Amino acid sequence: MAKSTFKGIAISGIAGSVPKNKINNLTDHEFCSEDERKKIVELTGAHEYRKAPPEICSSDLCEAAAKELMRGLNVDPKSIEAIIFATMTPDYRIPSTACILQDKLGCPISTVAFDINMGCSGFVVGLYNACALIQGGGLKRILLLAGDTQSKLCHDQDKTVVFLLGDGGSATLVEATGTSEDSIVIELMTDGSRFNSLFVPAGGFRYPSTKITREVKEQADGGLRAEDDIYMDGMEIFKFSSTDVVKSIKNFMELGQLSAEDIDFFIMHQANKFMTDKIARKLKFPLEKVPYSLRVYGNTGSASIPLTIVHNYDAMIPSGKNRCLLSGFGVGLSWGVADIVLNQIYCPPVIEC
Amino acid sequence: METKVKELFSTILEVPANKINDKTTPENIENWDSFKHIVLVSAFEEEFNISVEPEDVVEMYKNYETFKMIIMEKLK
Repeated sequence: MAKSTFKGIAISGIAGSVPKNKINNLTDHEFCSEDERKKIVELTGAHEYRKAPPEICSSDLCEAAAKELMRGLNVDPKSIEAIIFATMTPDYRIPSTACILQDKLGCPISTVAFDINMGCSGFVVGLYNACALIQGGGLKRILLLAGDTQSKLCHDQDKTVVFLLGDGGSATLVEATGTSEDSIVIELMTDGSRFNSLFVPAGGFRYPSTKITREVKEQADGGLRAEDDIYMDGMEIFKFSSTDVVKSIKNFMELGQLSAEDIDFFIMHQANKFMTDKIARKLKFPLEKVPYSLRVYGNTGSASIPLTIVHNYDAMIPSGKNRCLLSGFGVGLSWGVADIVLNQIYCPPVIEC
Repeated sequence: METKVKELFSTILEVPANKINDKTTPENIENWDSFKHIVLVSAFEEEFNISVEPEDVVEMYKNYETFKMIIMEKLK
């Protein structure tokens, strides 16, 4: 079981960034009727999101967040020992974008840098890896970058995804504190048997991109897309989120003897509000303990958890300790739960790039 | 009550009530896709002031009979 307790590790700060370009779900996407757009917005809770122009990649968003984070915390880039970049949208197929970010951020060549190809569970999986490098590898200071430009994976008339998938980046500083009271508990899970309920069918080495895979067709579910575009089986993902994810959070809380009262904030991946409200209620979290960034940023993939923290941090008792339960779930299928404490961390307002 | 359930179901999906029966599934009726299913569940929650559990939302996507039974159970 991939459940670990990490001692003497804490998050010192989180910064978030988004592209300037706003897409309004009520007024854009004219391929859907006005009534349909209203209904989608009402149910998903995503009123708008940000869409990066072609020249802005996930790494650019994370770079801006990382620079602001290091500036605000007065951290010398030379002191960074590892860069972990969780993303589904790297700059290149080769190399890991984290290598490029090592140079752009001014980190030393002694830095270990690698990407984690994960989406909506990416922040939690990345945090697990950061903690493991500190606890197991003796590193002291790690930059965890999580970001995606998912709008580039969608066909712009695929109504199953285009109202939800937005772009965003984040940077989180994870540090060894040497204080045993600072603890982070994380559990990760994977079910690859359902990988094809949320994936991009073509464009990898299994099924390379060709003229045929780039052809846009009306699909059986009414979506308009090519095989090079992201596909989501909405009901299968709903089923996964509302059963497997809920069950694993329940088990995590039971084994850790945690109740909703013990947790200040339950921060979920920003999938869609109809579903996440139901998950929160099922787990007995009052909705005031469940912050959202979905309304303004949509579902930002691996950035959604850190971006939700940054977006809501002013309302999250910034002067005190916040015990937060994080739940990331999505492509893989991969999911994870983390029990963390945010203790007066540096959390600047979301940056626009 | 069963008639009311069918009426609302038919209105939301914009499918005549006489074309809906217990064997109706998302595969054999136009419009009943995963998004419309969420619209359906949400409309029933609002209309009858009920709250459908997430696992029931999934079950209700099997066929009209299951959909109706879960709603009727909630209304007891």
